[in-house]
Amino acid sequence: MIQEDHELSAWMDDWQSEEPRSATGPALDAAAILRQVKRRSLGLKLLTAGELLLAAGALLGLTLFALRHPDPMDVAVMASFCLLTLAALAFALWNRRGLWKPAAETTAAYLALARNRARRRQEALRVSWGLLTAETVLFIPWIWHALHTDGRHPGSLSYTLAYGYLAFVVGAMTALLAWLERWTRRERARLDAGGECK
Amino acid sequence: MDAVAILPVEGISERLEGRLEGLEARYERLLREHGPALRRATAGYEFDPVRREDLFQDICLAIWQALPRFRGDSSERTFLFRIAHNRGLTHRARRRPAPTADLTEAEEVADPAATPEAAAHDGQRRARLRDAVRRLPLEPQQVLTMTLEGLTPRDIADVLGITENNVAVRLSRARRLLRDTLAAAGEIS
Repeated sequence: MIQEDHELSAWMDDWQSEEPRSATGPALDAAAILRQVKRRSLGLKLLTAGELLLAAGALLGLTLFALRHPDPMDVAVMASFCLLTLAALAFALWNRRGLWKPAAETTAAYLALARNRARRRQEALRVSWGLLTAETVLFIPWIWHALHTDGRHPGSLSYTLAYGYLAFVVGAMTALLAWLERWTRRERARLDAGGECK
Repeated sequence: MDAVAILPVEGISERLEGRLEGLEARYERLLREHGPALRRATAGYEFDPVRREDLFQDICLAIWQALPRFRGDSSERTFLFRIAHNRGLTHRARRRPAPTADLTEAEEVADPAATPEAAAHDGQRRARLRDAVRRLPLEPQQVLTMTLEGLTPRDIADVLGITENNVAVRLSRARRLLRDTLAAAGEIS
């Protein structure tokens, strides 16, 4: 027992006698860290405000478009996009309920919270797939309608460009969602294993 | 009547400013006192030095965000270690595991007062200890790093949200594993 305590105190001395060097320098400058942390904190707040502004901008843009193009098809499609945007916003807010807890919980409570966050993210991703499908379904006839407004007969290049752009955006979003889904699934599995990397 | 007298905006602004300055002073003091221990705790979760610094910055940010809500219902050290270990845990769950680097030469810290040979030997021993601690599974590693930082079993139980008995069991397992790892590295005969 005494030998064990000697062993532990020797380990403690060794452990505490050094400060691991960081990539940016070994010295710990509390004032510099505070400045950096305040900048990051402000950045996060601006990011959240930016998300809301983006949604508000999208709603405004869609409404203005509908007002300037009073064609029934345009108005119906823009109104549908507005409803989808509002539904997505409402779901995002509802899905975050109860997750705004500080990081100073016990590790057991924090682990449960982290698992809950990952589960909610998976739900949000499922809704995102639905949203992407709904928007694609709306865009396909609307592009056709926009190309044929006023009795125009567009060439094949117009079709290729319009539908090619849609295919590119949908493809990029599909890849992003698939990557996020895989990342979230892996995180959830690790959290279920108690935070261990497998 | 003067509007300023009815709405003491200046008073509120001064109080808020004073509160912010108090928070900043407290934050800087906490980092000066516990920063090295937090860096060591961070090192347990991440091998890669660049990612480790990112994690340390995340922990610092989380402390800054949680500090206004800290009402002293636990010790400051317990509060800081909770945040560090919680952030470390999610970091470990989110990141792809980095290859375990041989840190023996990369991060040795020599004692300038000792002879070059003795200093090199001490530096290697410390690096092997830190490397061995990092290789432990998460649960015993958390208990061991906090013990090595001098936290009592009660503090550790408070950080992790488990019983003191559970802490003792995990610590015993951690010590056995660490002994085995160090023995395999030739540190203990």
